[in-house]
Amino acid sequence: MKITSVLTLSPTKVEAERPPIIGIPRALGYYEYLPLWRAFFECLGCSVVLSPVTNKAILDQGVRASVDEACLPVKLYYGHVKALSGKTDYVFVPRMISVQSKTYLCPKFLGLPDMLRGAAAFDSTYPQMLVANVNSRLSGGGWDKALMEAAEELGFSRLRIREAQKIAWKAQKDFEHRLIQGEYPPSALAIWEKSGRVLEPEGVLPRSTKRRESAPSGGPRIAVMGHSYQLFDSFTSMNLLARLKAKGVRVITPLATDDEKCRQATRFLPKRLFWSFGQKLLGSSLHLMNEPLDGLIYVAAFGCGPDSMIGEMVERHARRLDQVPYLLLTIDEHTGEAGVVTRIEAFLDLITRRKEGHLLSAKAQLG
Amino acid sequence: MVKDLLYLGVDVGSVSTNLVLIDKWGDVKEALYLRTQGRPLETIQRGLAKLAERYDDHQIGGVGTTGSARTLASVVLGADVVKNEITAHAVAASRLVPGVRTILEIGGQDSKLILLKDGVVSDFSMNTVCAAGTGSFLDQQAARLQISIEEFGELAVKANHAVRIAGRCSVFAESDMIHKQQMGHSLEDIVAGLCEALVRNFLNNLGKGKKLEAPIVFQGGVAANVGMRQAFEKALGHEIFIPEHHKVMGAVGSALLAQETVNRAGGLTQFKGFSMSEEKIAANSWECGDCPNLCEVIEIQEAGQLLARWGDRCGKWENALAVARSEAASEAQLQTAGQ
Repeated sequence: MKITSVLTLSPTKVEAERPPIIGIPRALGYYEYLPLWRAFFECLGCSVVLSPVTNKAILDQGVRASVDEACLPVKLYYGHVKALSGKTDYVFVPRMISVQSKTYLCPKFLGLPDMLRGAAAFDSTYPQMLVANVNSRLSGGGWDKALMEAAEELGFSRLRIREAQKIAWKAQKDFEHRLIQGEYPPSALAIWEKSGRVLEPEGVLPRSTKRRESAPSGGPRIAVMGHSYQLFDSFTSMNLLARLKAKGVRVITPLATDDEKCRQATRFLPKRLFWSFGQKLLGSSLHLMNEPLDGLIYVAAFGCGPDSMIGEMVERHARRLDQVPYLLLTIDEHTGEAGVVTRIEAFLDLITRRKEGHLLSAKAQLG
Repeated sequence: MVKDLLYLGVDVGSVSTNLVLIDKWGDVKEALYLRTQGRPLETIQRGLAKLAERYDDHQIGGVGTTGSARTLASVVLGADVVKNEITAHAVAASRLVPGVRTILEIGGQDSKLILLKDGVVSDFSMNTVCAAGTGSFLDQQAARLQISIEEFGELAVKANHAVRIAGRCSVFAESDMIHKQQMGHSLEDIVAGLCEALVRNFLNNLGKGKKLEAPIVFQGGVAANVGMRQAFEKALGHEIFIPEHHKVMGAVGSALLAQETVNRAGGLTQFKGFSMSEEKIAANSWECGDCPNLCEVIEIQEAGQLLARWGDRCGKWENALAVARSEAASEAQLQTAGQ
């Protein structure tokens, strides 16, 4: 796709001068919307800088700066915003109120920019924020309106913004398609995580030349449920996905179930879930439980309100069917790796021994 | 005549290091219960030296390790199988108590609840970072009341009525106990109350939403405490079985797993021999400063030679050792080929 129509327009002030550098924190919405955001800002001519992959320093900084009541992923977000200070003109902080019709995100997403402002009031090293309010409960209030307002604040023309949105959505849809196909976000995101400019000057989307990562075959099929920002941050998840993969597990994540399947799977519930992530996690879990599945691991963030409820609901359904072994891993900033490793190992043993069919006890009876 | 092979199981936990030898029928021939005292390497060697007095290398058909220091132990011993404590405990209990449905295990710093169905684990839970309700806490309280841990349980059984103590957190439990003492409650009643509080805590934390069915087995170091057993029986309304070797069940399980693994793999063990008890084994650690993660890397050396490394998130130190090994191996191969 070309954006020649825009290029022939006389540039606005910001376009003629150096367009701003936009920082994107590698946390929360990042794992689901990076292609949209990055393609949008690059299309406008901005440079995009990502915060580093989560490390101990970022976590420590986030825990120190945030309010105590926040969940681990939100604490981490603070750390990622701070890690961008001095590297950008603005840090893009979307206020995700509602991204799907008739649903909400959790209150911590709704108050995210305000919580950050609160922290910045006592710390002058915080970078300046570019806030975009996403509220699809208002008419015409989705991502398009949010990005429009944010970019207008920077001084871009409406026409140019609309053109950028078109290309950004193309990038996002392509990414979402790959996730539904079963590709892991770390692999599907990889082309959007490069440093420098990703989008070609004419607005052509990047193509990955790498072979798509596919799950190993033959091993146990385990659904790993949890928020994307929890599962795919290998630091806080203690490399859970890689560990499982190394043990030959075929991992399925919630992203491989599309919204329609999630809706179908939760139709029998007496009440509709109004958290988008919660709906996805519960719907995907229930959908996958109807397929041949060897186990389900629910990765909950400590301090996450919706997780404490959804995790419980998933567990009850797993137990009701009495077919799917269930493991709950709650992760907080103090969680020791040893405990997590022991639980995973024991869970995999449980699955293999179950499959082998009490070989040992049979032997014992013979002996 | 060739003697029957024995299988060595080693469970290195935070408080105790247990070594057992079982015969091919799964009967326990030897059981050592040693205090780890923060020196796992030395304790393993001490245990090996004790066993070496009565057994020799070719009697050992297989070695299994478990416990929080299972990797460390496996490197030192040359283990055939390294398994987590949950699987090891479940294997041991289902062998020694056929038909067991529920395992309560309380060790030095962790507690586990394991549910079984048809001889296989169907569900389990483990305590999180909090150590309230584990053996260390009982140890600490016994020391504070100046009674030995063995007497502790006996005292609880003598109680008239157990005082209600807040067992949610070990710090609060302690202040509550002091308060009850000041109020004039007898020591027996307080000790019994503490046992009940720990049981309540265990069942609330680990047993939430789970159905605990009989037969129930209670194992781990704390199972020796009759007060705890009584409190569990009261809370669950079932008789609680305490296996003879309740203190070393993890080690028994890993020995059984070693037997299974070696038989499956064709009968050869990786055991390095009892001489390892005399080797100079050193562990050292350093903080890698190559990225902000600041991982603590641990290195195990035997007589100046690097045995193993772990602790690095990115795996580069671990890999460096593997690369060095494979290079050395191919070099050795080349040399033999040259000859």
